[in-house]
Amino acid sequence: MALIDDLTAQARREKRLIDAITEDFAEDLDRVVTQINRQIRRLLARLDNSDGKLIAERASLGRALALRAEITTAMDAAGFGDLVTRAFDLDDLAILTLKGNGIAARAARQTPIDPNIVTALQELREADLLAMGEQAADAFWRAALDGVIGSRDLADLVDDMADLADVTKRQARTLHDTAVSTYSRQVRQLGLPGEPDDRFLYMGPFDGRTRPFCRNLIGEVHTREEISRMSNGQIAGVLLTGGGYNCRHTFQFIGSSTVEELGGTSTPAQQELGV
Amino acid sequence: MSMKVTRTGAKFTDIDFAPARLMREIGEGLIGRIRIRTGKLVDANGQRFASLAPLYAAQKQKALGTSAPDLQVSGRMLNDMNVRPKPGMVTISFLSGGGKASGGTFIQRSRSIGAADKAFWHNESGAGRKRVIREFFGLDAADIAWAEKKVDAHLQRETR
Repeated sequence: MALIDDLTAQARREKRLIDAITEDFAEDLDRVVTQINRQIRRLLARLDNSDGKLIAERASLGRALALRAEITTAMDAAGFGDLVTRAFDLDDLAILTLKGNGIAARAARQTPIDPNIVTALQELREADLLAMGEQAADAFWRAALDGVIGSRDLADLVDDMADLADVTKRQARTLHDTAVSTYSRQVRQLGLPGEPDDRFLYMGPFDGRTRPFCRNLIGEVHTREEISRMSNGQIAGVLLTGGGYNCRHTFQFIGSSTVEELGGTSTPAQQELGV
Repeated sequence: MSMKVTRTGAKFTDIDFAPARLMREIGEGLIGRIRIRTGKLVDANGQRFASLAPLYAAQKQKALGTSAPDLQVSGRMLNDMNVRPKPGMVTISFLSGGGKASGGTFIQRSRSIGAADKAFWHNESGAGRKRVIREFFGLDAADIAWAEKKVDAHLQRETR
């Protein structure tokens, strides 16, 4: 069955989970908060021993605090606030750090992390995107989460994933990167009309590493229905997996806009179609 | 003299001037515009991006066959821009943050860093040792005019 069919079936089965934070999901989110607390503690330690990355660390701290606030608010609203592992000692220290320099607050404001992350994580959690089986899929969900919030050293993560999936570290890294990219494309689908005639512009790097599949698609506009019939020859569900493993591209929703309106140039095929 | 006025369309008070679905379309379109402009190596102020530092440019040339400052290696920063629409407003933000460069390839090292961090370096703090700003994340006058045109078209449809 195609990936998109899998996703649809899962979403239908798990609609209850998607509509509300359940106890089961709340427990997973609590682990997320614990990870974020660990990340905050690490960032504060690094700030104590400034190693020249002060601006980046402060920016990450601001966003980690904002993300934790989003998740704890969502859990409080769902009635699972008592599950949240609080870390008020960290809060005090973090607030002092924030007061000392406005960079963290500015970073959180100027380049925030999307709070839709909670919804997207919930959906991703229900989908075995890379057909790894239940246990591995759960581990890869956590891996994708780590990749998204940057809460864990990637080398350690890849080691764990290699053990779990019984693959080489190189393959584990590919699976990790593919899971994180697929997550991103999944989030970008949230809230779109979801109609067969939704229009997307294929975008991403055009360089010496771009595969023929992506090279041929870049700059082209296709409908959701057309994309559903495409095959990248590697993983099903091109809308969510693009050109396959390690793909660096994405389908950008453009609504009723033309490529020219967005400042681009149509390909001859697009001009013929009037897009 | 008397004059009769007849309303031909919906009640003015019933018109939804900027529904969330319109704001989503505007936000997604603005992401498209930012990406296309960035691909042309031009920032939100109409200025051409500064060239990459020589060492980094050489690494990028070797890995990807180009040293263009198009702000794309793994594609993650631009791919992770996302919209959050509400009636009357839309916010564009990033889906990932944190992490540190890790991996055996140029692309992997880029991909392991979250989008919000890279965006902050390019837009706010400056990237690299020389703290070079490449302000890709912003709207120029043409972007704003485009968004206004979208709202106008919506209002015309609603008041027809």
